[in-house]
Amino acid sequence: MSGALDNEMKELLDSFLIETQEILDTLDQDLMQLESQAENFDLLNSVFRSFHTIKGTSSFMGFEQITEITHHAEDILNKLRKAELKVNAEIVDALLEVYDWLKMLLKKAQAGDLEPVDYSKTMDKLTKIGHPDAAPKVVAAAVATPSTVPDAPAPPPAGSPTLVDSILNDKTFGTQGDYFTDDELSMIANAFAEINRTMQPSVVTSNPATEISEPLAVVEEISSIPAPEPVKQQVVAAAVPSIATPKAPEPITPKKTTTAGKDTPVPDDKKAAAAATETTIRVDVNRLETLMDLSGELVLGRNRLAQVTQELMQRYENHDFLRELQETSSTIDFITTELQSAIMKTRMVPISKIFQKAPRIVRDLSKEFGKDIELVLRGEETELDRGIIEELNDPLVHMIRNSCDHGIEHPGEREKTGKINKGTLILDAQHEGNHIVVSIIDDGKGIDPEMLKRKALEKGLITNEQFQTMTDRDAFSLIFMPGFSTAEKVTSVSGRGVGMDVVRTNIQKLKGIIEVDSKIGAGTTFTIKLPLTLAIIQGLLVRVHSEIYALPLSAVVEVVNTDLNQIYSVNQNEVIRIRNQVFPLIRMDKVLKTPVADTDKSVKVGAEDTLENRYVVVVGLADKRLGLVVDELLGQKEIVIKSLGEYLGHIRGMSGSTILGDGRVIMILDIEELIQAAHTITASVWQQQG
Amino acid sequence: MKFLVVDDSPTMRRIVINALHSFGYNDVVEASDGQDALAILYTEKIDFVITDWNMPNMNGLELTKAIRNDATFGTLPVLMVTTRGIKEDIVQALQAKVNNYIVKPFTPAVLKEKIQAIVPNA
Repeated sequence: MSGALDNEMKELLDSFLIETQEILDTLDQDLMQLESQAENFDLLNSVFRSFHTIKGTSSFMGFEQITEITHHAEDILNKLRKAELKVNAEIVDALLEVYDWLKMLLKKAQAGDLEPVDYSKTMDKLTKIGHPDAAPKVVAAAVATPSTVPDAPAPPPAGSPTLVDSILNDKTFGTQGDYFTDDELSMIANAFAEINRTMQPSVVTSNPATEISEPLAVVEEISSIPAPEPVKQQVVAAAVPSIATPKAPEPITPKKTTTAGKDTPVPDDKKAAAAATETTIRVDVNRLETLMDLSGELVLGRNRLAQVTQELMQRYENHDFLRELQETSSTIDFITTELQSAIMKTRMVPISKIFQKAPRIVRDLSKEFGKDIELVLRGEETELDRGIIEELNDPLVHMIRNSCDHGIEHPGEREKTGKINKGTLILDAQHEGNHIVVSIIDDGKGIDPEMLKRKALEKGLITNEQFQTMTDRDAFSLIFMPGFSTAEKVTSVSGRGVGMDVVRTNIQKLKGIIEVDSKIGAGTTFTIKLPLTLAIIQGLLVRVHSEIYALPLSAVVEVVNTDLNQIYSVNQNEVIRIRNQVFPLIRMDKVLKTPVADTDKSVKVGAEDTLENRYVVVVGLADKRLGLVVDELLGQKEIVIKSLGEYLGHIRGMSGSTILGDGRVIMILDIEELIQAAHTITASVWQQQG
Repeated sequence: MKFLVVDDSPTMRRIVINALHSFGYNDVVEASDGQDALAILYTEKIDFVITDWNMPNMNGLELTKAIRNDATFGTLPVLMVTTRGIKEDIVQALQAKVNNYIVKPFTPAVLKEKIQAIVPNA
């Protein structure tokens, strides 16, 4: 029995935790919007409801601190709704503080930690806002306690509901003091009893016992109402028409438009979320992972089927039977693709999950630094695999902080350089083929490559020669080096030495690419390119002698024909210059020691083998680039990454394998390791560069 | 007796429904707002409505008024569950003709008392 109750309680707790988390997810955004849309009544109501719901449910769950602080927040929201207060920065600040406390209290609740927190400062703020006159709280005096409630007068005869009317018509009813008088309370109790009788005459009159106990219960209820704060006296007359308050106009989506013109309209989040509550179910992530794996297997089978069909068609041309096979095969092909993308979509989460944190961060930092920053969000609806979203969160948050801290200047400083006082920070996400490109663009002071180089030299991160010869682009990459911080003075926000190298590490983990572009005085743009998902990738198939390898297409920056004039030898290592950038070059055949096929006549064997008629695939990871020399490009293929298994374990330079349509197993090159291997070469490249 | 529990918070619905189950009322349907509730009332025979006050789309007060204006289920018992407890709210509840009013948090016993006060034979 108690086991069942425990279960029920646990279920309730889970329900509470999830629901409250969901409410909090949209609450801070709503609060930020409220600051700029003080007149948006729907938004105000929505925020009120958020606090209201949390207060209600937490009171049942026994989370007293949550109930208490939300009660105070709700009180202020109520005053805003009644236009007794006006939305201002101070109020939004205080409410955001409540939000922060709620987040923390919820985390504690989740962990089963019931130790109370000290949020008295926030409470003081709330009280000050809610009661500016700081009137001493005279509470109990006016409140009727059950014992002082006089006997209810005899109810009027059933069928003539006059008591309710008389209360409603009495303009003086409820206007004396902050609380109902004893007489009023008993009238109310009787009024409810009267409603009961009108609604169900036969039932109530048949049981006089409840008729007496019922009104008393109501009185008890009303008198025990927890209303510690004095309620203003405009009560009845003002309140009644407010039921019919006309609906405020649709909330205007606060997405700012920009000159770029590629903004996509964002659906009203609120509505979408409301509609979604009824149509969503929660699914264990593991089940989705299994589906993902199975769909991967299906893709392999599909590829194989297509290949076999193709070969049969070539061998037995015009056979009716084969045409049917081909039709079936192409149907399966189509369905598999659809199925796979459908399954992938189940794991997709809009990037707004991260972007929505930005307004708060930018707001707080603007205040802290005394800067004026306008945040523009674009492409928030762009979806990404949830695993990637999780990993992307920290780097993105860090970069937003960085841009606010180091990027955008103080208004005064901006004015001196002829810029408008208000700085702009743009977060942009968009699909590009099978990738997603996230950009963080600011119009701040830009990064000075000379300063970076000097810093790096001082810290001993680069040599004097490197300092002399390093290109601007390479200089920008210095900010990703561990221990490199450009902050002239360390602030609470950045310059703690855990900066951009963490960003790089995370992006690397995601097999993404990061690029920095900056112009002194004009601003800085960080561009992050990420694969949409990590399990199934678009691969570029290349031939190295007789072997075929796959490269993750997301890592491919460009492919060029080998141009002998642009290839140099540095300390016996080759580098290639492409448009004034120099990349280390790796000859895949040498590194992989690929056997040369007898039929392969285009490539001469031996130490002197030529680079003619071959290709250089420039690959990149985070900020690093590398050129790979291959013999032939075989095209783009969707490949399912298979691990090499325990038997083979880890093989240097290989990240996994996949199966081609013809059944051949090919290896997927590990860009990260190849780049690391080439790193030693890179170091010497700088010296030779002119 | 068939109950309709109306609340936009799934947790609150769970709390009320758990309490109803413990009294032996197992026939319960739920709705997430007033509009949702009305749609159910038009299609199902409901004996008792327990509704939250503050909900999106259509709140408990508006729902009660809609119920009272309906020819077929106008006299349906309505119990308003809410955290609000200030003067004007009670007057509004009276005006909308809710049968009774219960303030969160409440114990199952109080809920039972309220229900039986409205429908003694339940």
